Amino acid sequence: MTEFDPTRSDAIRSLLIETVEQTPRRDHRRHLRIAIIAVLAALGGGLGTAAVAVAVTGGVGLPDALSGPPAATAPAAPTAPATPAPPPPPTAPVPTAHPLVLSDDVIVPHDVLSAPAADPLWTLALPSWRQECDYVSVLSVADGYALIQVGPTAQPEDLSFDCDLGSVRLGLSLVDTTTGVARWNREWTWQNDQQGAHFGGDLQVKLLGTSGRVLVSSTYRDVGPQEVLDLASGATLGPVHRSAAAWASMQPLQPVGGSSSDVIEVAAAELDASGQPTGPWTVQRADPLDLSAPSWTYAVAATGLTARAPGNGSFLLELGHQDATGRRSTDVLDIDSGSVMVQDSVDRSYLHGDRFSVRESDLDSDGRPHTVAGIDPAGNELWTRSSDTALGISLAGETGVRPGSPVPIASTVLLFGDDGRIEAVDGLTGETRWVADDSACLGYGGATDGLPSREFAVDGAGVLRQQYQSGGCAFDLATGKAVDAPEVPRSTTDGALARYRLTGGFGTGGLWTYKWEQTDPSVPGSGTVYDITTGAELWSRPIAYDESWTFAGGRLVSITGTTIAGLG
Amino acid sequence: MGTESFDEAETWAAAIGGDSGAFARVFDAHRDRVFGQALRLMRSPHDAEDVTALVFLEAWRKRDAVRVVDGSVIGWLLVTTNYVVRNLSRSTRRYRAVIDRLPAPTNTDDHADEVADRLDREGRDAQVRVAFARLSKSDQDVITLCVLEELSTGQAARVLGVPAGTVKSRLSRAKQRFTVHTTEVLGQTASATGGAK
Repeated sequence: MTEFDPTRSDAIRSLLIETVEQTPRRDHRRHLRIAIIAVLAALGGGLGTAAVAVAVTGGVGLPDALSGPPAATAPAAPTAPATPAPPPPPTAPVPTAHPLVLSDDVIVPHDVLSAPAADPLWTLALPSWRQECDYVSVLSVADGYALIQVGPTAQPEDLSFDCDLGSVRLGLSLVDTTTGVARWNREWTWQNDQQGAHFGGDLQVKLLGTSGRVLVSSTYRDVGPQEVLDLASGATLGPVHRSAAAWASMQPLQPVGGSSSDVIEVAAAELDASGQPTGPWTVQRADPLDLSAPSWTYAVAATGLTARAPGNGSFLLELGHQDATGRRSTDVLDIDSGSVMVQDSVDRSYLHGDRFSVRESDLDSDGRPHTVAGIDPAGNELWTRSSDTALGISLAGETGVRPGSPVPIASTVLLFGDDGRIEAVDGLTGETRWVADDSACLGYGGATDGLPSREFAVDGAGVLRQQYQSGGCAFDLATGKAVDAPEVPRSTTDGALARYRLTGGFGTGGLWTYKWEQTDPSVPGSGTVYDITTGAELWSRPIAYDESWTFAGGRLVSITGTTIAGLG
Repeated sequence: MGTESFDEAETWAAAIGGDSGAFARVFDAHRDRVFGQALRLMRSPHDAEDVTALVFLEAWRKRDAVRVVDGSVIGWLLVTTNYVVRNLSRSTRRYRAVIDRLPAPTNTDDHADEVADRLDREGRDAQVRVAFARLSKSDQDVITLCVLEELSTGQAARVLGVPAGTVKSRLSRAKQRFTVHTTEVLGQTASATGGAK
């Protein structure tokens, strides 16, 4: 039997010890916290994966030292006036404990296929100050948990409403969406005397991967909150100090994703009086609580630069930049180390799924690839395909969201040829699952690029359906056999097995309206649910004039006025 | 490789918290199984040793993503071994500075490669290795976990992050393909041998 060379084994062992010891201590603390909680969760909750259970009010009884902020990071005063508010009284009975479990597992919608009772399962009051200019956003963080964001006060879509944009409010709550209990509430108010800052997209609330942290960050250095919160408690872990000039508009911080709480920060080049850059643009990776100590920094001489971090824990960081002649090119960095993998390329781009990325290269003059490759989050090339003719590429989006990851859930890559061929490829292995003819599919935008629509999605019944305004083709995802899929009405909210369509209502909550709906507020609208495969109507119920439905932590909720309610 | 009590989950937690000794104990515990899996894929023991080093370096780099299944990281390490072998040039490039510091093999003599070549040509193991190398990464992983390393379907499912039913169907298809590849490889050899006669 072949045995390991003992001398080399000892050398490898020593190298591993050295590698661990040379890793910055800052990383150890973060990883240790995750590891201990993961082990406790596995022991106590039977979780077999690297899930992270975080104690919350009324939740599982983990030691405070583990559920609270890391000891190394002292809580700091908020950068903007923040007023923690007591949770509003729930109208439903106090439920049993429902622990917040953070993991990278996909949150799949719990479809409501039967008509719910007339009274919702629960209702919860949103901030009483909410008005037409304070939009509601939902960020799913785990199965049964969502961050409910109200505000920041923004420009109204309908200018007949007069909102005070100089006084801005933001509310954030962590809500158990199975019971309607708010685990914590936070509010911020600030004055906005910065011309041009309207706080629609000027403030971001983002999960920092599955690290258990939340970034609340304005793109104006001195306007609005800049801080990191502990997801379990809502407490401020510390401020985010950005180095841009006062009042300067900054590019948003981009979470690295995965289990890391780090972000990518882009700093624009300084400009001289004539508007010409006097130095390089810089890109860095850092803990948002300590942006002055990046783990790496990269400089690019450019007139403009945008960074694209997939946010799913992938190693890839794309930097698109432009030089003084207007030439655009791409650098690709290893997001872990900042090392340059590709420099100044005009021949590649990437498409990201939640568990793999697809690299497009050998681009023709129209930017269409002749070669594609699947790459895993660690950077390993999994498979390649090449073609003499250009390839169209699509990820077959699946239902659900992965917490902290902005990219679609997908396991299948669709490759379209000019010859009407669709090839379904397993994104992780490169295996061809099936090849089909696309003659039943509809062109996109008049098929200007000669390729069919790239928009396909997989429903909960395993049908791959072209996402077209009406009609289009459908295939059995497993076999590639064409499926005669009846048309299902479009909806504002799709589940795995049903579509949820609101009609006759004024909008989708506040002023975020669908203008093609000619609505009369005096006439009640309705919410109707359709089987996603057959198109059959499953149930219907009246809605308020401003009601919207969405999935929050996988649970169907309705939002209207200052109330959020559980439907199923 | 002592026999002292070893709680792997706790040791792993300590390791990724920065305890280098704990990380070394995980290496001690799983070195041989990772090496064994690498040997199934690599002809040279020397290369398999390098792969073993790369797998543990990857385990450290991706420590947050390592799945602990039933208190052990072995499943993740074995699947990563398959990754590393398939992407050896990239993995080696990433850790070139580290690998270059390893001492040269002490059990190599001038004829080692020749001997290995001869054994390869003649050995059934080598043919099975060729057949295994023809499998997709997905097939390799499921056969490694469920057949070669005898993990349960549930354990393999958690390592791979897929439902147990998916593991069963993948395993069934992978076995079929492995059989086909093995038959082809052995058939080619038999044919070549027959022709030599």
